[in-house]
Amino acid sequence: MWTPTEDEKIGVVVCSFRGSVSLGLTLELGETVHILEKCEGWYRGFSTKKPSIKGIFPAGYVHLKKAVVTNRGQYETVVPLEDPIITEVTSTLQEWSVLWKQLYVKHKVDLFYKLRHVMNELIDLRRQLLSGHLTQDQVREVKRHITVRLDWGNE
Amino acid sequence: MQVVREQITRTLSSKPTSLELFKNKVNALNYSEILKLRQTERLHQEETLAPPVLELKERLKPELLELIRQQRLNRLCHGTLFRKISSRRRQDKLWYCRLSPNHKVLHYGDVEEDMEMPSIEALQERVIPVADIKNVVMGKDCPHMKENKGKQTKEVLDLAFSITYDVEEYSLNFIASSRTDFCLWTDGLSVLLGKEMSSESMRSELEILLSMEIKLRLLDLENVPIPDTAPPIPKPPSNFNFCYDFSQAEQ
Repeated sequence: MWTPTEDEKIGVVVCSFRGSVSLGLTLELGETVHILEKCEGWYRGFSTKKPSIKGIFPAGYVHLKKAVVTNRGQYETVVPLEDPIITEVTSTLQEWSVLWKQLYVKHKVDLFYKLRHVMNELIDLRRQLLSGHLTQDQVREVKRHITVRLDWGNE
Repeated sequence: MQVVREQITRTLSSKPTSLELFKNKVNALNYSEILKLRQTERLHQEETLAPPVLELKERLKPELLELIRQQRLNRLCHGTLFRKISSRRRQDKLWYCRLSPNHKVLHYGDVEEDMEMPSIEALQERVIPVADIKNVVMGKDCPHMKENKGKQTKEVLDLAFSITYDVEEYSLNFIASSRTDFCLWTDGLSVLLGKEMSSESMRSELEILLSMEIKLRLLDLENVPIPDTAPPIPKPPSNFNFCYDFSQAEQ
């Protein structure tokens, strides 16, 4: 029977799922899902990209991440347990990506390449933070670099 | 070759004590092992040749190609100045060509040396309806390149293209002032003709767009292993009596 999940709340898709099951949810590699309930090796939930569409998918197709849950139940909110700066960099990069592609189509060449450079630096800095191989000092340095770039982008 | 080098350096770093031992160790680190080690150590996920990543890249291409098509058509609408290379005059004459905003007509006309890009309405100009365009040819296949029978430099051949229109008897001949303009126009004209773009600029821009897109898609998979083959799909659940009913909310 279907039971609400306790700790399994956020997952990242490690293999694209075509949804080839009744009530199946189509998922792409890399997408983030919120998990509501589980049953017999299946999860039911939704993609953060399309929260209104609920469906089922195999548990083995997602990698679980730690999460903070508030207001448990049908209308719970779930947030990944990670350094807030990571969350900020991730969402900023996704926002800038839209702008970046517009810069390309409108042939704003200079800005296109500058933004690309900054985005690549942020991706790299984020990677360094997530590597877990940094000392406290290095972490501070990296965060400082990140902030500088986030500020530049917001001009 | 890189792999062989790596086999040797890795083996040497483990300080084998004899040639026999060396040979054994080198063989142990066979080709596929090296590739796996490289993938986890040096390459980031988006750079690997892992099948799921390659498949995702393929799925991302169509949308990005559409962006490139839009960019090309926008540039054509903006218009470009071209030169008519003339052996008789000391200075080449300038002319412009521009696509109409509705993408249905090409406008072109001569310009004076110091003029800015004329607007569509200005000047005596001629038009070619896009619907009348039959083909785009490049390099030595161009009528204006064939004229001087092999006397054209490679430089000029790489910048030359022509539009044939209206029963292929007429052609509008171009010499782009840069390879960039050449790629822009040949790609743009291909789009108008419903053909695929093929320039090297298109390929490198696609790579730039694709490489960023894949990195962003894989951001949340940082440090997460991606299986090479699809995990097994369990039997469908025995029931769909979910805990939560969202049908009211969705309406």
